[in-house]
Amino acid sequence: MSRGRSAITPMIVTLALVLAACTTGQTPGGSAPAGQTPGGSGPAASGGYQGTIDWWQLGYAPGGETAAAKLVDAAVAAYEAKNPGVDIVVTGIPFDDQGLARLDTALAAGNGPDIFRIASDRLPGYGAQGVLSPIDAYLTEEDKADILPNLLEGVEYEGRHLAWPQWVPPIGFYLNNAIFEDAGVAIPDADWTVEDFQQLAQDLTTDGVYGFATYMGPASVNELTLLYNQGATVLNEDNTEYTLNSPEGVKGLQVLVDLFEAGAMPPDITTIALADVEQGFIDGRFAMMTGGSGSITNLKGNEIEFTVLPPPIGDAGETVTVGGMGTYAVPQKDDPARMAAAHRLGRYLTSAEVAEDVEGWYLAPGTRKSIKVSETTPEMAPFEEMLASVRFMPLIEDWAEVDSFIHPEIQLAVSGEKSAQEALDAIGEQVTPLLGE
Amino acid sequence: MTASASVARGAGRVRRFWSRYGAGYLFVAPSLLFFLVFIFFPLGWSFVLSFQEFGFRGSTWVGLDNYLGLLRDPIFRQAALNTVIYSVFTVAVWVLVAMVLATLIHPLPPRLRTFFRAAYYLPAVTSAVFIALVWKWILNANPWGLANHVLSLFGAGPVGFISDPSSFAGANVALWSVILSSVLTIPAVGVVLYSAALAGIPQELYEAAETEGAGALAKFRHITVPLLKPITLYVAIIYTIAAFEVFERVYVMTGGGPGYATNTIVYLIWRTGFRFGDYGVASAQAFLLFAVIATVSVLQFRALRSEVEY
Amino acid sequence: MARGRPAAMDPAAVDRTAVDPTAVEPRPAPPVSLIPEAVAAPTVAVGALAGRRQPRRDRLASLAVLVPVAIVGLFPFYWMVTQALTPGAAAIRVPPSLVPVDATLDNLAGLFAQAPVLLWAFNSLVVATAIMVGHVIFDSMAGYAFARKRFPGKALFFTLIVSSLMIPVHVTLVPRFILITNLGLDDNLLGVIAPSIADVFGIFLMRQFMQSLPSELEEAARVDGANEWQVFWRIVMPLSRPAVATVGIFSFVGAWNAFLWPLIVLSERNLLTLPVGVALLQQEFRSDIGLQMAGAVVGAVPMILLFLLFQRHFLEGVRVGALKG
Repeated sequence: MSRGRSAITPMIVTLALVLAACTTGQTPGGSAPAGQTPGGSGPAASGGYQGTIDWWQLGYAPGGETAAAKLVDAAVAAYEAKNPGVDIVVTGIPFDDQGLARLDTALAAGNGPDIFRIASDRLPGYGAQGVLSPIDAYLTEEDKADILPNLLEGVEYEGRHLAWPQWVPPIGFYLNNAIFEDAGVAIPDADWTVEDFQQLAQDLTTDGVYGFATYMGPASVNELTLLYNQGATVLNEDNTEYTLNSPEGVKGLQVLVDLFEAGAMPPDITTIALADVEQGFIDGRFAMMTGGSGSITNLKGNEIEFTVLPPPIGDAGETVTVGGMGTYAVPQKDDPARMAAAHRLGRYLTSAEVAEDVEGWYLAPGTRKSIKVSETTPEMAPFEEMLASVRFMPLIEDWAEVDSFIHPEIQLAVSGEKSAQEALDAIGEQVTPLLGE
Repeated sequence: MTASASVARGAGRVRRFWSRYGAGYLFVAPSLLFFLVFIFFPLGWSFVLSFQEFGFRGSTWVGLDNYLGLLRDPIFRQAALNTVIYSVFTVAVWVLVAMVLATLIHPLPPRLRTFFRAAYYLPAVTSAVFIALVWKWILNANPWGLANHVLSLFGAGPVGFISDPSSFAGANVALWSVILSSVLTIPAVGVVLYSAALAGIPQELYEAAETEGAGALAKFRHITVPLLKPITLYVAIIYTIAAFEVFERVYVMTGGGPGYATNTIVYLIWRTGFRFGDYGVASAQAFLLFAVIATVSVLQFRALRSEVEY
Repeated sequence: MARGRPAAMDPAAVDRTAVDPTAVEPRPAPPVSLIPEAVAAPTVAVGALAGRRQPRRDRLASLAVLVPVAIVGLFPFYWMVTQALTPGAAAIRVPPSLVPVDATLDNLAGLFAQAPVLLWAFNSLVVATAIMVGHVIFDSMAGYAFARKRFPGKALFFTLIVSSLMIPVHVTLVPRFILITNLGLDDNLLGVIAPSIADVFGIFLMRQFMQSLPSELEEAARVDGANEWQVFWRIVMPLSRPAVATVGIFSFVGAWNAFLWPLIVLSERNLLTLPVGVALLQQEFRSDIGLQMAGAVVGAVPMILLFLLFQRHFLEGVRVGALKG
């Protein structure tokens, strides 16, 4: 899987996040084949389709070369065993601009796959082109009751739900237990505040240790947690207006600015790579960092004792975090039976059932109440609890470009080149023309 | 005469033409085809694209919008300015250093001369990616960064070489750091070219100057520099083109940041075209850069040529 | 980018070492420069000319400049190797040590375990070899035609080809990528190779060299009944060996080190070339400076060895590229 590529050719916020979740994720997860789940709405019951389903999977390498690919193979085996006559053909496409371009071209031409995995923020683009078959017709009452409402909204575009929401890696705050212990500082509770956080970051800063680090580069939303938890959003509710330069946004950015000025963040924080944040945390150089659930495996592998908290509470008055969503989408096709079969596969791949069939299928918290990822990975529990507090980045066609304008200005503010207000205003000048289109 | 006869005669003419010139065309054909398909055809296409907005559902004509948008775009302006600053400094230093090094190498005994030319040429066979990676590590802002350690020995620093966008001497710290890493790379091609040119300067000129009591510096200024003018023109132009196209260093060391501090034009083109699929705008950016390079080359040519006529 | 070294970066930049036709006053070509026995000519000539010995004091003064410059210029290589040998923990020790601390090959081993470096090297080798072969054959063919053949349009074709030097690489990037994608060659080594299969520098150099060859042998071969291709392949090419070597080496190194185009065309991790792969290492989710430096060493060493083996061709190639006719 070309995981690093997503960092170089980052497109969209959640791509990196979902990717982080799926690549640095789990151990292979033994392919537990087809045990029929007793009570599970066995897809065979509603199906009857005989034939091929083409499944395109970003970053998939055939033959189970990567952990994520093994999971896919196991899921295919399980589903085929339950649905005799269905033949799933998995094709891997590279996880980067070119891979996505190939997907886009195929979709536009109508010769794409029957089903594919995609980050939710690509959905509006496809929605605008009308190349996807919405899931609404296939969404049962059971599904609606099971999927967390704010997450179902995350796939909604112009009143229709465009894809099966699979999982959400929200951004959490990782705390290095050993550094807290050495400093004689207690680990705060999940309802910690921004003031607590600022105090901790400064208290924990000593010779060779920085209190806090977060990635401020493209295709990520890590640092935006500290703006969103003040109540700021990048765009207003109907995505017509840029709002990050609100007083809430300025206040949140000022927190980062002050921490940097106080020396509580590393001097190269503005150019630090996503990987360097995690590495610094592992090396014991950063007491706290932001990150998605994808970091868990690596930290455990390095035997780091850590605590995951939701972002500290700011002026929003409640826990707020940001994240992206991985989904399975079904393109519009001429063959309704085949499309229906693809939707059934989509439901299966995002259900609790698949989690029972394929151990470790979920590399991030699932979108349904019935999925309990923390039962197999206890460290995932704090992330699961954050699900109800996740804010998604706006679902607009040009998000990738909007994202590319946000981070450079934040870097400039943090390094003291611009005031927080100036930087956020400057983003607006770039973003507003995109909204007018 | 009948039609068939004229056809036959025409065919005969073709045959004669072919037997006479055919081989020439066949030998040239592969390269010519290559240049048409991969250079000239894309050049024209790129020009067309620069007046379009590219989309999956088809491209639309937008007239001069891409160009006008760029002229108003502060990011493009910064990238252009950065590119000019980078080029002016690196080219000036590279040309000067290459000339001085070649002049110093020239009178050495052959074995030493070969040694230095080889040593200086070594960086030129190494991909800029690898060198830039090393420089990124040397210049990192942490106390274990080598450059910052050296500064700390003098009680200075730490400096966020590649992570500090604050203004410094007309540009910004991060851009100066990228420039620093470039000028500290030996201008290998320049050294070789100057060495070759030096071999063509008649020794008598120097001997004559010596008899008039000229020192080393005077000889360099009054003989070497003027006689090397033509090659200086050439070296300056190839380095200007190279500097305007700076990409690897920026890509590896700073990713264009912090902020837009180290964005350069080619980096911006890559970003616009291949990260955001804005083929139209990327093409417009490319043509504007093309125009700048052409202008600068012509100006350099004029400026140096006027003095070249010796 | 160390555009201090246009000769070696990418095939297009290699072009730049050849002369921009508008750049320099037309000068008489030194046709002997590449004739086999004359390869060493510059040294001989200068040696003769430098009949007088340089005063010892001057030499020391020169060395006082040249040696430190060499040290500064080569330091990144030293540091690359040092850091590749330094274990992770020691790499972030303060103060940094100028010599490897606890030297180890762990980074190299880790690199091979975590990244498909051998595949990347193989890809680079395939790309560089294919481009080199392409240049050697197509450039020589065109150079031969321009040097020896007469045909209507010859001057026009030559001007056209040489004028392509003035078109910066980046202007054609986007349409070239669309073209390659439409041909289905994106994410394919062929997509890297195809747009670099011939180049101006080589055509120019081959033409120069072949013009300097005596034509009697060719005539003799024709009299003996050899066809055009046989004359070219059996007679002209063997005689042109020094020029072919220069073109081949420059093409190989340029293609091996190329970055921008492979970066655009290739995306599958296993298909990358070494520079793109090594640049990717620093973006991978887990960053490790020792690993990156080990990657840089693996990418740089083959070309350095090649250079040390074929030094003469390199230096001669740059020189000849400049002295156009």
